[in-house]
Amino acid sequence: MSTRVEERRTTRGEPGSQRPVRPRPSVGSYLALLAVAGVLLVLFVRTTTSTLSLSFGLFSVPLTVSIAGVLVVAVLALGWRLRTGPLLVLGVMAVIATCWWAGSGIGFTLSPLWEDLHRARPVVDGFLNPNWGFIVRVWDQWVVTIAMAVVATTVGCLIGLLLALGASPVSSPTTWTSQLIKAANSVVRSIPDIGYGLLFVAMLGGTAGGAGPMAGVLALVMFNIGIVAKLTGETIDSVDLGPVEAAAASGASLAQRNRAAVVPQILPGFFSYTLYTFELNIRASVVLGIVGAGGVGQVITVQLSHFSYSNISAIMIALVAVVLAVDYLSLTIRRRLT
Amino acid sequence: MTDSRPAMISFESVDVVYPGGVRGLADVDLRIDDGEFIVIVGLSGAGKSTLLRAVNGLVPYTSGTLTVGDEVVDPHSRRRLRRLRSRVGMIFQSFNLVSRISVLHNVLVGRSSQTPTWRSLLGWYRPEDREIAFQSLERVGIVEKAYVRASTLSGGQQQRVAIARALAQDPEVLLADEPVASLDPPTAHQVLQDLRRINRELGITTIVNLHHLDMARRYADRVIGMRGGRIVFDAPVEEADDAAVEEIYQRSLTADDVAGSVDLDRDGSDGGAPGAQDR
Amino acid sequence: MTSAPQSTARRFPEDALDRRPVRPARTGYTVGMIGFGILFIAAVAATGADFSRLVDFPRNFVDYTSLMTQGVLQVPDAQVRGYWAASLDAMLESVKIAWIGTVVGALFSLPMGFLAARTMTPLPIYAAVRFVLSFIRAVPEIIFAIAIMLPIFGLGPMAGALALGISSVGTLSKLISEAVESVDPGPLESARASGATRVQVVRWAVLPQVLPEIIAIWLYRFEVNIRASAILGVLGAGGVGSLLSTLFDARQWERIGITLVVIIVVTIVVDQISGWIRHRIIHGVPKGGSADDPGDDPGDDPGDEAGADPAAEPGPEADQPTEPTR
Repeated sequence: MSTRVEERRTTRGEPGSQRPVRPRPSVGSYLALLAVAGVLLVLFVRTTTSTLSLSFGLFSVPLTVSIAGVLVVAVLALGWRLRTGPLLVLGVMAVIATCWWAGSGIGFTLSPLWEDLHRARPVVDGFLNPNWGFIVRVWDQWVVTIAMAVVATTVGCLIGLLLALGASPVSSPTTWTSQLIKAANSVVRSIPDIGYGLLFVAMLGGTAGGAGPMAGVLALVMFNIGIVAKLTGETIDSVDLGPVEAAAASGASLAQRNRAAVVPQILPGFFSYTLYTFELNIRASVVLGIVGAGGVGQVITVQLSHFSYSNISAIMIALVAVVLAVDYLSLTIRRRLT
Repeated sequence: MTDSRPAMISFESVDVVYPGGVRGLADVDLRIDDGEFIVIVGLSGAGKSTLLRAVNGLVPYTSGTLTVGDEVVDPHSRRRLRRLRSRVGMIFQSFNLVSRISVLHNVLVGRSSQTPTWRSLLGWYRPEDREIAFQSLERVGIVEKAYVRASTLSGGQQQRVAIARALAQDPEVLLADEPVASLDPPTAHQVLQDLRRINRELGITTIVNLHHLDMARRYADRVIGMRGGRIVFDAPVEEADDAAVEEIYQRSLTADDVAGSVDLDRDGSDGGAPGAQDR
Repeated sequence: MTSAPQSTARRFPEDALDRRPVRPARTGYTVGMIGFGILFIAAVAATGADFSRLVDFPRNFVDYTSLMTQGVLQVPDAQVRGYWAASLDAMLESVKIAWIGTVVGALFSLPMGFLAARTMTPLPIYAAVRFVLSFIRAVPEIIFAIAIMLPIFGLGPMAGALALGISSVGTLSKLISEAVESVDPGPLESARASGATRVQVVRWAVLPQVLPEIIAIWLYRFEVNIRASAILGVLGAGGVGSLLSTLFDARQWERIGITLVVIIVVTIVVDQISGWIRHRIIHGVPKGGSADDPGDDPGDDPGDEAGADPAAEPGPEADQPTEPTR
């Protein structure tokens, strides 16, 4: 193939004289990047806690530092070679630096994977021999879990829908309310489900006080409001504005406009999100049970404290089955909706 | 249509300046009498749409006086705007139907201003409102589709549903913003005939923005030409000859301006160039 | 058009009325609504929730909220500053856990995502990978932590990070495979037609199209993982979850208030940064410069998170992946 290239040269003018020169990023920006890389390397050497090191005859470098250093230099070289924009290279270096920061912060190590694998033995044994009978023995907790999910999904998604309508500039009374509700939504969404679980258990009294499910439902409701308000709010942002304008032109009030022109457009999306939240709720109820908010999670906590992994295994298999079943169910419902 | 009667719509040196500083309308004086059928022509960006939307306050005018009926349009009072809009129906280029709900419910949107909010929220419209919706659908001849989803209709049918929605308001004024620009020529003529018929039968003052001149000449009582946010031509349709129109457009007529003429039941003086444009 | 139903007969002959369609039956809808109502009531009963508790709730809520507010608003002397610092440290540890978890998940999800895309993979591999992925997605991350990571790595952030990593692989690969499947088939076909190998097709026809979307998916998962890492903390995997559960055990409401504020602020800040980067990756840089910029310089762009006009862009899903299921 390559021999043919000679023959294909055009006869008009000097070959390649009209071809544009490939743009090359400015040398200055790459010098700046080099400086950044240097700073990073110094930082890596100064902050390393690694005990393993590579020896290079005269001096030795900690293993982690060498890996990170090689990566940074490689990115810089590759970026120069491929004429990548300096911003992209800077971004990749920032990612490496963040990994260094996070990794050294939590003591990143993989050595237990080969050194301490045997410690997982009893757990894995327990998990491989699930105590099937246990699934049925705690069936009432399953009912509670699913019932909590149903209640919390219904209530949470309805409130979430209202908040979403308030948060989107399309359907909100004023931009001011829209901004306010948006901010409130981010606050609600930023507290994780377990945070709400702890909060409501502390306020109402948990399973021990007999209020586990109540606290659990409230925690799930808050959790759902955050998710649904955000997802639905984004759907509302992108609805077809034509019908909304038409409703406004016929003298409809804001509520009527939203009901007639916005809600029908977002309804399929909203139902998907609702079903999606329902699944999330079943998963989340495991966590909530651990902090004392009722449901099958509290069984897991008890069994965990007894180290009876075969019982936990049974529950988890059942949980996976339930989640998959709900998943499948919501898929079929969604297919029929759209 | 004499001057002794009060005007249906009157513009008195109305300006519209958009927030970005763009001038939509400049010093517009216009008087429209009850029952007129007016077609506004002009290039895109000439201010036709702005003029129409100023009437029902979708675009707030920034100075001058704009009166509809005996009421001055007040773009800053939501309540008064709603009352005004309930008397002014509007039809759009892209129909603006809610595609996922039935035709009937789309038409019932036109009853919003007469319906208590809780009824709208629950979708429990009064029987008399339903009756009006049905009558509107009958007037545009599409009642058999009442329970069909709006998205399943063809473009012409959708525009007729949109007309029914406006009629359900029981309006005094009907605004149509490029109502046929998304339709093929035969359907476009049908829609314009519907509008003309409704104007004659019910005496609703109708203002239509059009791009095609031959249609304007064929259906209008009175033609208004706009350029750069100003009214540059305003005369009965008989006076809207080619010279006048070239004056509006500031250039000689092209095939695009007059094409789209398909003979239906009219004289067909333009001698069909069917399919010469629009797809 | 005066609104009066009686006028119908006068204005329209009988046969005109006959053209009106019969209202379609809505039994399915009605039965569905009633069924759901019954289900809901049954569910309320089945939770065994004690609604009498709600009577006390408002008072408790006000009491505890005022305690928390006092905690947040009190004069920051040395001790209180220590509380703030401890909460911030714990929260940053959660962020670190989430970051490492996301990176681990991202590394594995790239090949897995391509293997799980029907357009890229032969059917047997595709089916197997899909099955593994849906299994991973069905298992809550807390189970990975309990079952696998805690015994091996012991109680600590590393266990949490790896548990997050594994469970991230499930959703990430799923979303990536969807992005790959929805790629514009044109360039793909032309690459195949010119005799490119499978790897060449992926490198030159697929990757350039989906990479921005994939990076956006990774960042989105990072936001999710921050919340999830708090959950793992309750099990003892470090981070703000561990701190919260100790504080709640001791019922130190002032410190709880401080910690919640720290959680909210840090989460929102990280969300904003990540949303801003995602927005820039998907929608490109406002003017000039490179389109792909995963740069870490924050910049403040409030409200940008909403992703202004998703419908107009080629990759609307990736801007805010909704983590759809299967």
